Amino acid sequence: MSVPHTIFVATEFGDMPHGRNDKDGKLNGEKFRKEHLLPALAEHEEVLVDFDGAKGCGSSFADESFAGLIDHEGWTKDEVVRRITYKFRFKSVIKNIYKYIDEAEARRLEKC
Amino acid sequence: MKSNWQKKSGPWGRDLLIRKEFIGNSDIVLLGRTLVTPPSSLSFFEKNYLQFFMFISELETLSKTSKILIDMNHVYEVKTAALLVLYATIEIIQLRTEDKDIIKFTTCGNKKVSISLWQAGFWDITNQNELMPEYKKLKKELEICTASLAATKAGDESQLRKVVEYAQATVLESGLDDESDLLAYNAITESVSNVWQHAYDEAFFENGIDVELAHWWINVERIRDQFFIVVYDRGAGIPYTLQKKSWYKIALVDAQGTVHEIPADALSIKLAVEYGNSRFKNDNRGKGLSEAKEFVQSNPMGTMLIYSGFGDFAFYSESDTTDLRELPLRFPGTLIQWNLRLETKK
Repeated sequence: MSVPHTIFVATEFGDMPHGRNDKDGKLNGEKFRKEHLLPALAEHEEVLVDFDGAKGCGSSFADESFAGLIDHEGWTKDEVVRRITYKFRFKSVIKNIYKYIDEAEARRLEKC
Repeated sequence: MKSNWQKKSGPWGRDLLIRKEFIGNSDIVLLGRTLVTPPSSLSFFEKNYLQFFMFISELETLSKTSKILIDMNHVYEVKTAALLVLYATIEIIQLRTEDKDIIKFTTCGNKKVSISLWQAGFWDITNQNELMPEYKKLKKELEICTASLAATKAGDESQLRKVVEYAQATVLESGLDDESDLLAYNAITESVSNVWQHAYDEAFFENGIDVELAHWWINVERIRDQFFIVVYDRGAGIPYTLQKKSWYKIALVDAQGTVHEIPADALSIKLAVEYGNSRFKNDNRGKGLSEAKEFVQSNPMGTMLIYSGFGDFAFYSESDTTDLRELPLRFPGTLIQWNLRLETKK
């Protein structure tokens, strides 16, 4: 079993991840997806997103970053779930990320 | 121009004989400023709505031609939401006129009112810190925070950070549940995101947006185990922005296929709140309001108030009821107030 590559959100991106895109400021989900998550996924089979040290993780950020892979990057739920894991002291954030991924998958299937 | 003399309580609580000048519609000029008397209750809830917004409108109109002195001698009550709108109005007038001193206050006749204005940061914004009473024995809470679109685009998160850190420190200080500070974080950041994503969406402004004037304002306050958040913007307003959404027209068709007319504004706000969980939701937008309502629903003492356009929406978790009301005057922008319960580990 390979050791996943870790993205330390608080130190490598910012300790207040929030918002959807550039309209919301610089610590937004779209920026995180495009500039941190996708490059890491291009190089590593598994990625651990470690939020510890961050003040929180807003729903727009979580939705845009992870469900955004399905909505905007052509991924499927299976790929997202298999390749990305999460670490955070707030367990509800992780639970919500999986919920947003499920919702995005439902939207993808509806379009098929 | 006619003139006479009139006895009136002066700005520092003493009676003054002042010259009453008739300029246009009989405004009193004192110390080179037009004296404006606000309603004795600074609130726009229920029956106070018209009077409060006539006062706000008077400030906006007069500021085009005169400096202003707001007479606080007879104000005995202030509500947080009304203070936020007043603060925003003053800041916008200052930005438009490029004059930080255009509006000043007299001292307050009521100590509680004086403390509220001091806590909210009114003496800072009007450059009156040196003249107004300071309450050194009281803990200074967080003043109203505000950020412009220009600052946000430039990556300045300092005001948002201030609100978030205050909220999280309050939660920590009270020894409340770990997830409570996450709840506060989400509520604040999602509110701000809603403002930038919807209220100041360029699609709603034919002449573009002045990024210096486009702002959000937030006031947060903890009362026992309740954490109140009030967010205000002067953007397009929920009912107007909804009319441009594709899902909105679909939502007006009921299960029998009957097409309903565009509803009154209060009902539009209700649709916007329900949208996040609705069957019409086919994109990844619009979590903010429905999520806020979820926070409120999980709080036995939860209330969610939204003023936007001509609509007034109120949800009460205790009775699980929603009140919708049409307003007599258009609300300038959108104000959302709700309270989260800070749950204890016990």
